[in-house]
Amino acid sequence: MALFEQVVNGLIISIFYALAALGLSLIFGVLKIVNFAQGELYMLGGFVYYVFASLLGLPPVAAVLVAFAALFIVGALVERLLIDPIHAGKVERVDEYAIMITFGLAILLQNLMLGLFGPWTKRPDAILRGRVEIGELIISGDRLAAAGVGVLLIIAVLAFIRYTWAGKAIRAVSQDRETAGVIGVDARLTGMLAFGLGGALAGAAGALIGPVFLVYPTMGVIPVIKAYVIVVLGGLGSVPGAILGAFVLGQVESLATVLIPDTTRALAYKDAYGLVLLVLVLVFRPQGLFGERTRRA
Amino acid sequence: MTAQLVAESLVKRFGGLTALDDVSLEIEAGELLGLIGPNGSGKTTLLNVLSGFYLADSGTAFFEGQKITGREPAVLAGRGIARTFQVTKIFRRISVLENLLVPGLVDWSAGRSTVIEKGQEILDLLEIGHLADGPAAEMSGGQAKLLEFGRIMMLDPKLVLLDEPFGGVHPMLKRLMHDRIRDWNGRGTTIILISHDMGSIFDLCGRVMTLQNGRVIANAAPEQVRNDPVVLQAYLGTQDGEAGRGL
Amino acid sequence: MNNQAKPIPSPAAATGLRRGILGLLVVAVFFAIPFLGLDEYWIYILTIGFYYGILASSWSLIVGYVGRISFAHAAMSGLGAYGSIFASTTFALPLYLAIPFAGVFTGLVGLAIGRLCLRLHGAYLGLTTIAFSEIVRITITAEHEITRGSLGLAAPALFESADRVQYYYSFLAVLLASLLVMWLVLRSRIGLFFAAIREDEDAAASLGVKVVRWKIFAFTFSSVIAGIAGAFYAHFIQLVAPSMMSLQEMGFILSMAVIGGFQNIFYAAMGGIVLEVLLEVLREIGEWRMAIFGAVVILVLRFAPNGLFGGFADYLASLGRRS
Repeated sequence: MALFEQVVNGLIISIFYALAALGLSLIFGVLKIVNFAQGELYMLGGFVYYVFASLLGLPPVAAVLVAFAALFIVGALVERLLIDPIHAGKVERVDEYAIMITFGLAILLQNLMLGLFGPWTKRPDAILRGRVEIGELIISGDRLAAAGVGVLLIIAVLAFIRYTWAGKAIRAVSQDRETAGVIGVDARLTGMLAFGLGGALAGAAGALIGPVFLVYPTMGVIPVIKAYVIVVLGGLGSVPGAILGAFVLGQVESLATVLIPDTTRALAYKDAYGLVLLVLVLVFRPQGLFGERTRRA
Repeated sequence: MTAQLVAESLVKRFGGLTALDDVSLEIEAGELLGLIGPNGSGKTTLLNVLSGFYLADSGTAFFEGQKITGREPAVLAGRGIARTFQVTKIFRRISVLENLLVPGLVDWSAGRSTVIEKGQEILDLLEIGHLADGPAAEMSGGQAKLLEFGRIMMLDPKLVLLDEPFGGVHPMLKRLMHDRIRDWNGRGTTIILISHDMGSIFDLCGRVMTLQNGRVIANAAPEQVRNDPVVLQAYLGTQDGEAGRGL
Repeated sequence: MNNQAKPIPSPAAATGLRRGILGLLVVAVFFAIPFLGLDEYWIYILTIGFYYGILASSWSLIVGYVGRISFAHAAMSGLGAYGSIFASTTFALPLYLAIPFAGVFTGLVGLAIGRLCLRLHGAYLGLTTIAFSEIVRITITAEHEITRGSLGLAAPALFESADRVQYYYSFLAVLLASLLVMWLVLRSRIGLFFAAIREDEDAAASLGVKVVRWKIFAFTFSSVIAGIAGAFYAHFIQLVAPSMMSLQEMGFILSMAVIGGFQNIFYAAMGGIVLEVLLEVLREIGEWRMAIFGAVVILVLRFAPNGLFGGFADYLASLGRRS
């Protein structure tokens, strides 16, 4: 039974992970950059939720939507101001520029919020309180609600990418930016949309997970590292890969914690399993566990 | 005596696409071979295999009797195989002269002052000597092509692989490049020239090889290839194979 | 594209000389500072500034010269610190052996990581080096029986007396020595190979440059310097915790190098010293300091990629050219 509980817990954690990683993957797919400030967009989402749900008294679900919308705008602005110059040919070393500038953004946002709100943790109201019993299984309500809304959100985003015109533009630019331009897709606008959507997903993730794991300026540091692991496992830029990767990581972590006998050590290393996985994958199978091999010899 | 460059049944696949399908060739030292074919026919892929940038899936190639397939590009450069790129790859943020120093100084026994002298001579020969101290990024497209030329001249190569050297080059510069290629070849350097510029190919090359869908469909003197119905068909009759396969 | 060949002014020698003189002046000022009656506290801060100067300049060697990103630099310094502590306590080595041992040790780790991941590019390399640095930090935190975890590990002092000036000059000497060694390498043909790799790896390989070898060399070299810096730092601060390998610490180093000018080891080093001093001067505004630095990093990358010192030097050079 303990094992089964671990599996269900792993499943819920996986949904959180998927939520955090999806945006990263979407952004990489379209813009071919890793947003090293994704964890801080997640953190901002948590704070927006805290302000609207706890300070202004908005219903929790509405506050999640506000966080989603607010971070969409932040993401789109970041893209236009910092990332778009790459495609305008204003930058010499594209890869290194994008890495360093998003890393700089992470430093800025983290310390901005530290300055504004201080380092203290905040516990905003959850969508559901108390515990939920399913048969013998007892799950805390805040986790279940966050996971449930998270699943709905993931499905909504997948449907958006699959069925809407904008989603098709995202897929087209992901595959080939130039060709997409030829067939009339505005690659600049699509880039902004993708970054906005990526930011919005991170924001919603922060808003949903905030009540469970608390809201504070450095809350994004660890989840974003998980997100890196996940997108690498699933193949950078692959949205279904990111979801699959999240489930792999969630299970690996929760099982490894049970299977390693020395519990304090197992817990101490909890955050390292995924990282080892990441290094192994990048060194031996850089296209991800599920991706196709690239052309270059 | 065997040919200088021998390739036997080279095959290179990208996923489901066979870019080189059983390509064999022999080139004698001092030959100037033209390589033509529609877009996506495998010309650049062949160059990439011969210069070590791609691993062939099967088949082997020998240069002066030594195996070259599976060797690193830098090793092959050391053995005397030099190449240019379809999309010019100059070192933009160092000076024009320093671009030439890179291949010159790869040989540790070469002293800096002799290498600088040699580099300046080559730049003068290519009529871009006055740009030597300026950043390479400020050159025009044609000048950059000349710089790539100059860089491989520094290596004193035995075999030169030129990938579309005349693309976007001003006619005046093109004539200069023709002269240099002839000079070079006249001094015994073997050259393989990829170009869409049929005028240049027929002007310069002693033999022309035609690729289509990764296969050699013709391999003969220029006059013969020009009138070969199979080659004409390859160029005029098909619309597919437009997938560019640059580096 | 300009087809017209325009004559390019060649003041390289003149500006080179001018920059050299300026550099010597700066060094002279740093040598003179302890005689100016400065508060001991600021001598201490400047000493830490020198430590960051070493880290920022050796990091810029990889990023600015070879064009490869690394987030493992703080971890390398940390490995040097822990390495030297273990060498000097567990194995009872004297410090003049323990510190070089730490340099060799981090060099070997750098070599191993370089071999594993330097074929990767851009974001992939960034992610691998982040993962590596976090694995090291987590391991050192977790193995608390040996490392005392996040409580931190005590290190023997470099000197018997607690004289701040002694530390000041030794760190200044280490900074100058590492800058000198890096400068000598960068002005040799190896520096040219680095530039070729940075500008176009394929072209470099096609011209005979052993790309992988030189990338690994750069990574190892820069790791050795970081390791030695970390070792000196440990015996100066005398208490080392895993937080010195955190990504936040890496953020400091990145900010310092970028704001100073990561395309030049000297500007990056100045960035390290100046930012450390500014962090203390602006202590009153707390976390806002790093927020400001983050904003400046973004602005510099976007509008002045040569950094503040690089931009200033370029400006001076342009003045000299006009006169």
